[in-house]
Amino acid sequence: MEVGGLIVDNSINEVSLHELQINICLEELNSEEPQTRQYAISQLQSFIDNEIVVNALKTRAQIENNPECKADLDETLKLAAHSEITFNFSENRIGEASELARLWQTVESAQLPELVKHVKKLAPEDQAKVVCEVLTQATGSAQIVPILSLSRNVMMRAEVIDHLEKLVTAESSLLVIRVVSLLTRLMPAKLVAHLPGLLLHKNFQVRLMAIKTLHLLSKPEAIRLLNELMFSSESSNRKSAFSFLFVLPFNDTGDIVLRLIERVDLPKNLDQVIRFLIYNNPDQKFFRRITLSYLLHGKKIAALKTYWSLAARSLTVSGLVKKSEQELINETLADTKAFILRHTRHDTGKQETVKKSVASDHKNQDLLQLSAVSDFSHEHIEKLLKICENISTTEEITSAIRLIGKNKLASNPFCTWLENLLEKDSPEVINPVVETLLELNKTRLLPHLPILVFHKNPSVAEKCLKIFNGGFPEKLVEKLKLWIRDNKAEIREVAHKGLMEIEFLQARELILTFVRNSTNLELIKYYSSILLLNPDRLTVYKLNDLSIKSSGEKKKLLTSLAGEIKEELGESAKDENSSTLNSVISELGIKEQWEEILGRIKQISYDSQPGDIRNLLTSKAFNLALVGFLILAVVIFLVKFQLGSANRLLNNQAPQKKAIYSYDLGNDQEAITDKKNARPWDYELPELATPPDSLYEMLTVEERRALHEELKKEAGPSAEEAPRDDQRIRLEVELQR
Amino acid sequence: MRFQNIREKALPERSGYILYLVMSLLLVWAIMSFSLSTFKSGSVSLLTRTSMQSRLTCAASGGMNEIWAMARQEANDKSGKSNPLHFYSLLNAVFDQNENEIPPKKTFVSEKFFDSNDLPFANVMAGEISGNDIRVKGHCRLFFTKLIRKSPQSFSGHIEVIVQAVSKSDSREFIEIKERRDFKIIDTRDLLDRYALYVKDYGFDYNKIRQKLVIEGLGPKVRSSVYLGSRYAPNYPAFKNLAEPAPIYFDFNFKDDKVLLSALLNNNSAVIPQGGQEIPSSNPKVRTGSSGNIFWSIPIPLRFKPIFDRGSFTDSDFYTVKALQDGYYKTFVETSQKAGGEEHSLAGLILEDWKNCGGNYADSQVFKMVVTTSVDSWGYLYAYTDAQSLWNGDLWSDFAKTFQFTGLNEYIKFMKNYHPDKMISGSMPQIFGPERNKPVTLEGNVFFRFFKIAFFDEFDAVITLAGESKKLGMPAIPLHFQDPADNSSNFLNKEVRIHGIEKQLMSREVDEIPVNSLFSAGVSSYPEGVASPDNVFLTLSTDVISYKYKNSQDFFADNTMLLANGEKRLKVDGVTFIEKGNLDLSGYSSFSGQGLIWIGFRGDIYLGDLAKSKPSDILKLWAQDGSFIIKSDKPDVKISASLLALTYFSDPLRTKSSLGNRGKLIANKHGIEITGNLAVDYLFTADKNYGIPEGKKLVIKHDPFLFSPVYPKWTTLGPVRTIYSVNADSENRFFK
Repeated sequence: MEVGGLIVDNSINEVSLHELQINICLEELNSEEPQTRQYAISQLQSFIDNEIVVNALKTRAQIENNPECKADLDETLKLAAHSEITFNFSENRIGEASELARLWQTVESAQLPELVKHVKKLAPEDQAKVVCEVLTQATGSAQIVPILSLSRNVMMRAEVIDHLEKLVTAESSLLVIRVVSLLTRLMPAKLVAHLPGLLLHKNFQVRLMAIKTLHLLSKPEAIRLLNELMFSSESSNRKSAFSFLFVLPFNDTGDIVLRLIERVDLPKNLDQVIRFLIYNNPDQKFFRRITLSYLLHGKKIAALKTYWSLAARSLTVSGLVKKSEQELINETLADTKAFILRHTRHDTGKQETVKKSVASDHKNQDLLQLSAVSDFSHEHIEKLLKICENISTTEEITSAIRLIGKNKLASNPFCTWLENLLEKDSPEVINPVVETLLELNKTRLLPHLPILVFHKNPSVAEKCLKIFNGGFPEKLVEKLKLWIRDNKAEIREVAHKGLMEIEFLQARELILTFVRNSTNLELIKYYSSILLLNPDRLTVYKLNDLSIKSSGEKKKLLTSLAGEIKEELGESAKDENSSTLNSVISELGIKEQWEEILGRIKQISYDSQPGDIRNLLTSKAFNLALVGFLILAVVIFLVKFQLGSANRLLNNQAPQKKAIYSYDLGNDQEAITDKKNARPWDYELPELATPPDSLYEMLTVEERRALHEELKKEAGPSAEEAPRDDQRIRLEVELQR
Repeated sequence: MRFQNIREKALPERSGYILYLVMSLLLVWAIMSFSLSTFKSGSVSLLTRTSMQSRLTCAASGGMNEIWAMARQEANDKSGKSNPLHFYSLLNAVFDQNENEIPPKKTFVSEKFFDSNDLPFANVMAGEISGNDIRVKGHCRLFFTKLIRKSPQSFSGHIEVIVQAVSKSDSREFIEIKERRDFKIIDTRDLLDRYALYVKDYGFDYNKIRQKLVIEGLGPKVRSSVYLGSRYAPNYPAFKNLAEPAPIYFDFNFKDDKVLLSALLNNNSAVIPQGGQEIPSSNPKVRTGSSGNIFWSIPIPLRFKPIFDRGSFTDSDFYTVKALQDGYYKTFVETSQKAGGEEHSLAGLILEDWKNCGGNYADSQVFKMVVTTSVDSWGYLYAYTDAQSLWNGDLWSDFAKTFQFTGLNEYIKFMKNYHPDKMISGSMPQIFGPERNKPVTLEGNVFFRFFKIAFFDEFDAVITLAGESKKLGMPAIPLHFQDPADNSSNFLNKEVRIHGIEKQLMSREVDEIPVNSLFSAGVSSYPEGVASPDNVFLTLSTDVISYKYKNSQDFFADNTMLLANGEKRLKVDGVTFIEKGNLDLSGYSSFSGQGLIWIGFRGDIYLGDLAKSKPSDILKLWAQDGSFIIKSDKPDVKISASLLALTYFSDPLRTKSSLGNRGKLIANKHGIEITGNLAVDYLFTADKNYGIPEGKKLVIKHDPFLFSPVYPKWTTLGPVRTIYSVNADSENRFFK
């Protein structure tokens, strides 16, 4: 652990945060996702002084084919192109604001940074005038961006702020990002009115920037939206994960960091960023949570350990904790273990240790001989197969299994033999069988896993659960969906363990879906410990959301659960940044407007819930629209198809129907003829005419026989097969004879 | 006509429907255009062409379907008779042609052109999918290529339809579809149509009283025929050495069939002279006893002497007559013995004569004298009655037991071996309708049976013996029926012209009057124009078959219509051949169309109530190796169909005479009413397990529409396209 910590330190010290950011952005510049590339371009705008960055942008510009990325690249490169051309000022007008503003419109954008230097020489009022002029007349973002680098007291002027506010709704996303960022620093209250729009902006970088602004005004909402944005289903969002980490202070993004860590296979750059963040942001709450995560998932995710020790080190180094690193670790470990134990009381499995069987503790000479063989031939295989059929003691069996495993004998008879062994109770047999089958033929093991996880020996069950999750995570999730609903103690225990085993995000999804549909409070409580063990803000939001939609005891339970998790996260109920908020909004006296806007922001969610469609279907507005649409359709139908004529049709049909049966020739129905529809010859008696003589020309016996034979050939000999005797009807006359 | 009706009615009502259709097409088009907007212009123009072609094809298919619909609708619609371009006329025109113009000499072709106006639906649709830019027109030709029945004529051929859809704006934008389907136009009539009932085999149940057979012929003007054959008649002594088919007897029942009485007496075969209602015996008891039990009597007693003279009898013929002997013994010998005959007294003479002859009547002088006196004095009486008046089951009626009428008391005994069917006293089927007012032509050897009872009436005579006159009362003498199996001849069965149709003195069964002689000339043993009635089947060939099915399941799958009330209706169209297996129609309440369903090999047909959808519908069902079996929950079923169970098979191992191998109508304990006709090998009504229940009937109403079908020539259009081609080359189009 010590060594790991040192390595971490070194790797962090090697690079600055800027370099890290540049590295990541350059990497993302070549991403396949246009959105990611666009983001990288916008980030790199801040680093256009760096030659590597400019070169990378130029290279990219040559191959870029996405029009939006291309436009952004062009604009950024315009800013990067410096030129040393002197300006043709009109005589004696060098110092005049109007002249500078005129020049701003005429010179190329590459010369603008140079021109800024001249502007900066003016008095603040004149600078403000130039800014206003430029902002009014500018035609592209490349003309605007350089002027934004003027000093704070120029930009803070009311007229400049007003002009800037107008730019919030500009077309170019790059410009909007810059303006929003500027306004957030200068006067966030001006953004209040635009926030709902910005939070739903099509460009996700703009959304991130808006969240950053929102953080100043309403911390919980900002954190919520950030979490949701991070874990919404759009994959591209997750790819540029690191951008999230810098939007808000570390203590608010701790969740995100942890969830990122828990996701295996972090890219190297991101790994560095996370280390940087952990090391530079000593935080006791975060340490406690990473400890929890380490205890739960440490076995699966090796990197967790390094992060965990890094967090401990940062605490001791920063002096926030007055203990030695080892003490801190020991203490927190003990605490957290107790916490976990508190919430997993119900599955206190008797952790029987499996006695390791001694390898060659048997007297079967044949097996011993085979064990000595290094290269298995066909005869050996057959011999082993024969031995397998006859052995019965555990020692012999395990020895045979080892042989099979060692020599990778995956043929059908061996697999079948192994599968049959799974029916035994002894863990000494089952464990090696499972391992061997896993190695030799995973698919043959699969059908047994859902049974083995319920094995009465806890070690076997646990092992199989792990294998199940490792080998067939999707199948396990499918099974868990079923098991989670079950009331039986042993099944829900396995379900609990399984949920702990799979990725937390997936487990949370399963649990929340279950909570949404279930009314079984006891079961909800049972599984809630998993949510508690993985405290997460998003869980709190979702639980709150669910509690609003439920009632009675369930509502109480969900609210208290959300409270518990919140507590675990170390958040108090009160709005922490109310002081900032007050100061910000009191500047413009927009408290009432803010209240309203906050309400709207609360409606915004990036989380695409599975129940969305159902919610939509049950929503009042949707139903009203549906009813309206149906009424409209019915009205159109009635108008178009003339209800009157439909009636007429029915009236017409009634007698017609009778007429169809009219010639039923029975006594009960009279022969009513529909004169209108009936063709007379169909109903009137025909004029009886003696048939023509030609009708008497019959087939001769020979012709008839020929016809019959022809048909018989086609029908086959079975056509004349007699029916079964019991199916034959025998008349009295026949029986008497 | 029906098609036109629908069209006229449907157009305004369907206009909204088309709007909806067009709207959905436009929507699809809009979606397509929207998605195409991102395509390059080349692809778009290519797609535009493709879509134009699709529209043209769609419009042309529409036109094609419209023409086929029209053809199907009109092919069997008489309303088009006067319009030469109506499909009915186009198809039937072939029958009016000179034989040199039609197959097999020449393929006969008729054709019809369809302008835009003739294809309104297709053109409306084409206009709507193309912004009124597409026009659809067509052409069809009917080729009669094969004569499939010479007489009456039937043809097969094909119809070739060509439809063009052309863009109005650019005539090169063009699609032409050519399609061909086979058709058959066959004569649906058959010899069997004129029969209300056709039975090939000898039947036992015609006289059943409690399971009556009723036939309602077409009427007095046009007569239906009934043929009752005698194939596989039982091996009775009565049927030995017959030149004709075995005779069938109908028990005339003068009470039930009194309407027929006058026709019977005046029949065309042997007229019975005027008669009386009671026997004119000198004994009043006999007179009254006969009244109501006979339907004809000799009006006055016949003097026996002239008959005796005509018949070249001799006195000795009567010496052996037991009744005479008994009368003599009682009246003369016994009386004399009581009187204790003194010598030379009359009684003494008689006793002496009795002594001398030694009990042998032929040697008795006195007996001979009495016979001579009797021959001179006898009155001969006879009358006609029916079986029901004489006996029922094993019991003779009181009437039959009256001494004078006991002449038949050994009839049943004689018949037991000679002709067992005759032991049954029955009543004839109602073949002339329930009111006996619908005469039919009855073919087959069918005769009436009724009975003659004859006796010599009693008389008083004065006998002069040895100069002494003695008044004596001679008793009546019943004239006994003679064993028909016994060839010995005596005065009772000796032929002599007596009176009317009588040629023998004895009481007897009258069985020589053909039933057909009531309304027709007389007996006609075979169906008219048919030499071998057993070989009568429907005259069909494989050419006339329009549809072939392996089994009934396949057939039902294609030809079942579900009506609004949940009942099933069968579709029939021309000749349908089902190879084998049972055909269960009991689930079908009705049928529509005209045609024959022919089960070629083993298979029974199950029937419940089956009605027509309209009177002109005709369904013929032919079980070629099976029977009709009634299957219904109701006690009585009504079937509107021509039921033909005429067995033909070629398996040499099966016995054709075995009852199991003969086509039957198995009533299965139901009363049956058939509107159509019935042709079976073997007809029975009474059977404990499968017959008609007591008190119920088998009624056959001959269907006039079957006898004279509305469509003697029926057209079937094939469901399969035998040719289909699409042409988009406007240069080489069929017509410009």
